[in-house]
Amino acid sequence: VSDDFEELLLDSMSWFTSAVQVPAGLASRARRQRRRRRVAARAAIAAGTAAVSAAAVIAVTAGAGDAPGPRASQPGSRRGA
Amino acid sequence: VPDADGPVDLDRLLAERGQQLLRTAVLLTGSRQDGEDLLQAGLERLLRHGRRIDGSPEGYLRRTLYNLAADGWRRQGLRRRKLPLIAASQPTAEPDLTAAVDLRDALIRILRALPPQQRAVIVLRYWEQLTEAETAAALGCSEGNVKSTASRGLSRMRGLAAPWLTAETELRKTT
Repeated sequence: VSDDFEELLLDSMSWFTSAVQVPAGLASRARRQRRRRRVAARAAIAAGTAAVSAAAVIAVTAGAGDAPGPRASQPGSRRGA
Repeated sequence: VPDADGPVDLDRLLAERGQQLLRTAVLLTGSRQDGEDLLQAGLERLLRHGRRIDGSPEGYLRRTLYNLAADGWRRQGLRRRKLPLIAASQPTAEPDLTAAVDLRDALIRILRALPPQQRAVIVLRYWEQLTEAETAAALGCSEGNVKSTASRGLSRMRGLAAPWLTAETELRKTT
């Protein structure tokens, strides 16, 4: 009985797919999709790099702002003398 | 343009093996449109990893199809859509079908209703005619897993197909 069922299943699979044909342009579609993904990946990397660079610039700038600058002249210093 | 594909000549591969690959993809997904989408996704991966493939491109493509299907690729896809009824997608399926065609249609519907992993195992074992060991290697699971999954899948299919099997047996008796 098991073999009969398996044969029936195989027959059904064969029947269901007997008319399928590879559509023209399937390979081209895959190539296009591949190119699209590659471009998207490069754009994402570029955007990430730009974001990291911008963050680094901001950090450096902010750090420079926090650092003690040139010493302000004290009252009673040379200018006041 | 073979050069654009790296070491893999997609056009030649599809010309020589395309129909068989698409038939498998259609069975793995349950519909012609999804089968084409699955095959396209597999070809894209083949292009991406073409230079690193150890072995035949077709073997790599088949393993990719099996694994994408078993992992529920369609469920994770961006273009999830309701699958059309098989009868509607098959031009050969007329309303006045013989019982045999009804039974085949029912079996395909039942196969499509199985969970992706179970369906993949059934397709690999009975359509691709792989051994349990080969199926396990292709899907990256144990032989025991393949054995139990195939057994559960077939058992479920038999149970769901029982009304059609009985009807066909009755029909044979009367003719």
